[in-house]
This record gives sequence, C-alpha cells and structure tokens, in this order.
Amino acid sequence: MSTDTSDKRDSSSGSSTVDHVVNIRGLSKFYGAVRAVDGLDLDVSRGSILGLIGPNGAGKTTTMAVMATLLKPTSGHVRVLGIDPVEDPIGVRRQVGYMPDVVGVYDRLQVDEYLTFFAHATGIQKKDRPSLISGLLELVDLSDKRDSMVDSLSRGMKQRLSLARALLHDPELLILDEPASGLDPRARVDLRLLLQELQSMGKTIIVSSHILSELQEMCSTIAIVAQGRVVASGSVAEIARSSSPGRRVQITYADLSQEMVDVADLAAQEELLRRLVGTEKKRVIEFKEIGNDLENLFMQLTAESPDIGDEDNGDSIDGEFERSTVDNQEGSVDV
Amino acid sequence: MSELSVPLAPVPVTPVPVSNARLEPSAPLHQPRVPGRRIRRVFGLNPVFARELRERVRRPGTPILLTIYLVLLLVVASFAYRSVRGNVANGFDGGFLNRSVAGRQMFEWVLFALFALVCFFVPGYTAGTITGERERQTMVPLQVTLLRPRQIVVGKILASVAYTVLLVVAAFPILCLAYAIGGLTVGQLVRGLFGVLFVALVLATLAVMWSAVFRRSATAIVMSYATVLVLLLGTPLLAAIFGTLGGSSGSKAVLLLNPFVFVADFVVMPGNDFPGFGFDGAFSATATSYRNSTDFFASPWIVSGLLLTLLSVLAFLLAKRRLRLPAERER
Repeated sequence: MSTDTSDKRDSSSGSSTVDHVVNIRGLSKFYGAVRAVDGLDLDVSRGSILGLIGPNGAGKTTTMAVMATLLKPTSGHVRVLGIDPVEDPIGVRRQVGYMPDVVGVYDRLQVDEYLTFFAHATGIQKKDRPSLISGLLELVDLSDKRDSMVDSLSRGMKQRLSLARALLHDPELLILDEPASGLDPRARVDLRLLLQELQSMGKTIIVSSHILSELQEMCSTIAIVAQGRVVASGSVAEIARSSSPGRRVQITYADLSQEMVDVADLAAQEELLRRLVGTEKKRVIEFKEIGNDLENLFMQLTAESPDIGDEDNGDSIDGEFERSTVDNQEGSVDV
Repeated sequence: MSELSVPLAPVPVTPVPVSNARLEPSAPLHQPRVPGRRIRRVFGLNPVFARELRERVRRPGTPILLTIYLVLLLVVASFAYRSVRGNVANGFDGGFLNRSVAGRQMFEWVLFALFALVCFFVPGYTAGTITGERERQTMVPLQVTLLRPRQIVVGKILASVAYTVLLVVAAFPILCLAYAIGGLTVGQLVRGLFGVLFVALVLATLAVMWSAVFRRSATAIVMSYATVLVLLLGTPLLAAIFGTLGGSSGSKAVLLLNPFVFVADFVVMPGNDFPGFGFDGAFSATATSYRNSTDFFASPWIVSGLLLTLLSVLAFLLAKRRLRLPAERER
C-alpha cells in the first residue's frame, strides 16, 4: 500500500517537484522479538499537518522518536529535512522541535526561567532570549503566567509551555507526540488553533493520537498506523470518502474502570446505546452515532490507557481506522 | 489516493497577534569558534549547571541539610576543643609544644568530620541527578536540545561540586578555630580543604555515572553509596588480604585508591610535618604509615590522586556514553 500521505497534493500548486520534509522507507525498530515498527513508509510534505493515528503500541511514538534522533532504527531509510538522524543528530535537532507524550517540567523554575534554560541549551544568544520568550509566551497564550512556577500550571498550560519550548529555535518541523492527550475540550480547541497558526507560519507538523476525532479536526493529512506500519493514508476527506455510507460506531473496551462501567450501564438504561454486551470488565459498546456526548465521554475516560478498536461506516475516518486495525491487529479488536 | 488536493473545510482561526519574524532567533545558531568559548561554557555558562544551582537553592531540604551538617561539625569541633583544652591545661602551661599538638588534633578531628560528612552527603545529592530527570520526564526535552552529552554530565558534576564548595566554605570558620590554637600552617589548612574538594569531585563523578547508567534514582543512590563503601572500607579489607598473602607493596597500592589515604597524605605531606610529636590523629597516623615509602614512583598522594583521577575519567566517559543519542533503547 502506498503510504505517501500528501505528495500529490503539491500538484495543486503547479509544481511537479515534491518537497518532502520527512522521507521514511522500510523503517523497522525491534526490541528483541518485539517489533515496534515493522517496515514503515512515510512521506510528509512541507507545510502540512500530518496526523499519525493508531492504537497504543502501533509504533507511532517509536517512529517519532526515530525522527527526533532519540532512537536508532534497526533498519530502514530515514531522512528528516534531508538529514540522516543517526549520522547527524545535532543537524536534525537544529531544525526539529520535539514534544514527547509526557510533559515533564522542572518544578522549581518559573515559566520564563524554564524557557530561558532551554533557549540557552538550544544555543540562542543571551541578548535575544527575552524578546524571543515574550513572543513565544504570547503565541501560546501564557504571557500572564510568565512569573508562575511551572509546577503550578494546569495540564493544558504545561502542554502549551512544552510547545513553546519546542519552538524556541524556530524549527521547520514540529513533532508532537499525543499533544492533546488529557486535555479538556476547550484546551483541545486552543491547541488546534495554535497548530493551524503555526502551519500558517510555514511549519510542518506531525501529531499523533489514538483518539480519532482529535486528529480529524486538526490535520490536513492522516496516516493510520497499525502493527508498526502505515496501513492507510491520505487527506482527511479522502479517507472519510473511502468509507462506505451509514453511521455505526462500535468500540471494545477492555479493563474498564468502575467509573466507565457505571457510565455504560447508565447509558444502556437510558437507551443511548444501541448495544451493550460483554463482561463486567470488557464491553462491546455500539454508539448510535459518532460524535455524541457519550462517545466523547468515553474517549476522555479512555484517553490515558484505552484498549480500543473502532468501527464506523460513516463519513468519518473511523471506519478506515477500524478496518485497518482489525485487518492488521488480529485479536485486538473484538467486534 | 489520487486526489489528495481535497480542500479542508474552512476552520475559523482566531487571529493571534504574532509574526514569523518574532519566532526567529536574531542570531545564527552556528557561532564562529572564539578562543576561550569552550572554557566559558564549561565553567560559567553551562546551562545545566546554572539551572541545577537555581533549583538546588530553592529546594526546601537545602537549608535543613546545611544546618544538620554544620551542627554535626560543631559538635565534633566542641568535643575536640574540650579534649584539647584539657591537654593544654595539663601540659607545659600551654606552651608552644602542647599548643601545637592541640591545634593539630583539633584540625584533624574537624577535617575528619568534614571528610566523613562530604563522603556521606555527596552521593545523596548527586546520584539522583540524571535518574531524577528521567523520572520527572525532563530528560528527553533536555536531550533534544543542542547540548552534547558531555555538557550535560559536566553540568551535573559541577553542580554537585559547587554544593560541596558551599559545605566546605561553611566549615572553614570551624577549621580556623584549630588554626587559632596553633600548630598548623596555612598551607595545611588549604590543602585540607582542597583535598576534601578533590574527593568530592571524584565521588560526584562516580555518582553521576551511576545516575546515567541506571533508570531509577534508588538504584543509582544505592550503587553510589556502595562505591563509597568499597573505596573507603573495601580497600583496607583488600589490603589486609594482600598483606596476609605476603604482598606488602600490593596492599599499599590498593590503599592508594582510598580517598582517605589521599587526603591524609596530601594534608600531612612528608617533610612538611612536625616530626616526633607523636600525635595519633587519624590523618597523620595514615600518612605516617606511608612516610619514607619507596614503593611508588612519587609521593603516595600524587599516585593516589592520579589513580582517583583515572577512575573519575573512566566514570565520566561511561556517563557520557550512556547519554549519547540516538540510542538503541529509550532510557
């Protein structure tokens, strides 16, 4: 399957030359017998927002870690802005901003001290740091938190601070691992607007998520990853169109928390669900339609550690996601 | 896949008053090589060092630790002083000879306490330095900056040593009490402080190495204390074993890896002592056992210093290697 996510979009601009910021062919990363990434191909064109989507363990984080010079691939060809991350990691880091999935902060630093430290570590001259940091804080809407201790910020604010950190050296490519994870709906909207603002500045952005609706809203192109490979890719509209009509969402939850079991039971009583079967800890839940409040609630509840598979035959990308992951991840989706 | 140019539904974007220009650093990242730049980076402008110092002084435990340390040191000093005062009163009316002995004894007691406290504290506040970053999930953002592993390790070691400098400087007035009593040269006083600082540097490097090697702070701290124990108590044990096997020079060579032996011989350097006074302080007793030794190519403290330096260099290289990216596994 072709995994080129967006190269042909460039034809709309009249240029026949494809300008890829990231070019990956046959990327594999094995940990002993475990194949985290297994023959992944990916191209990311300049100025796009690419969403890497897939269930936990699909290989998204590993792929991003390879691009961000953190991990050495077992095999494969990887070029980030034309540079091999293994041969010249510093060269890649000069042009790439990376935000890991877990935002760790130094709890005894103020917001501006935190950014000053990273500006120093990124080689920004001392005289340039104050104005740069002011601009970034304004961009991520944290100007009024400048003197606050980093530890006192909310999760959404920490995410935005982390994004400001990744932007300090004005990178061409931003790699954001699960940036919307754990954010409330308002913070997600803010993040989406921020990413679109950055895209308008000419930055190329790669974001990952296992929550489908998140990426659908913010990405221009989507690559669905399962079992260490890109199994479907293209523009959001194209993937949505490739699904057959009719709405149906079916999600399998394993290891349900008591809170979620209660919500599911309540929903079943009120006939919000079309179907609810399964044991106490593992349920198959069929939603009436995608995007309703109940689904969002479940998505939020499972955002941290879900074991989900989705099925949707509607005009969203979920249908493709489900087929891809079911085809390639036998046993993980129980529908 | 063929029609990838499908336009997205327009999404309302809130205008943010920001321009591209503001995001661009006004100076290039590649700076021309300027003489002395590296030295400044190591000693004054290492960002990790600067941040560590800032965080350390803000840690609520810092003043508590400093207080406990000074109280312990003062307790030792006051006991030593009482003992010394008794000696002076019972001797030659506080004459030169007794005062010298008394001053030396007090100095040795306080220096011994300082040495022991530094050996005890340094692994505690150093071994969690890199593992702590991993546990707080701050290591990855640090590693994707332009900092080299060398700079990160140097920053960590310098931060630890800087804190020890604070401890040693705080102890200086107490050591000066001994100087006031007499029997000491300024050189011995200064050598005592620098000897302890050198040991702190060695122990800090070893602790940072364990911190780079292991993922968990608890493991790194246990290994760091184990290393200190091996150096301080393991080497005499090994020396005793060598001794019983008949290898006198071998047993002395093993002891040279002991930081205590280094400080003892460094402070009470042969030929710069008050011979024949017969005091039995810990440092001078150890140094005496090495005096007139012809087993080594140089003074024992030089050989010992070189061995400990070699150990530190190896630890530094290993720590640096462990932080190198890209790595085979996430650490």
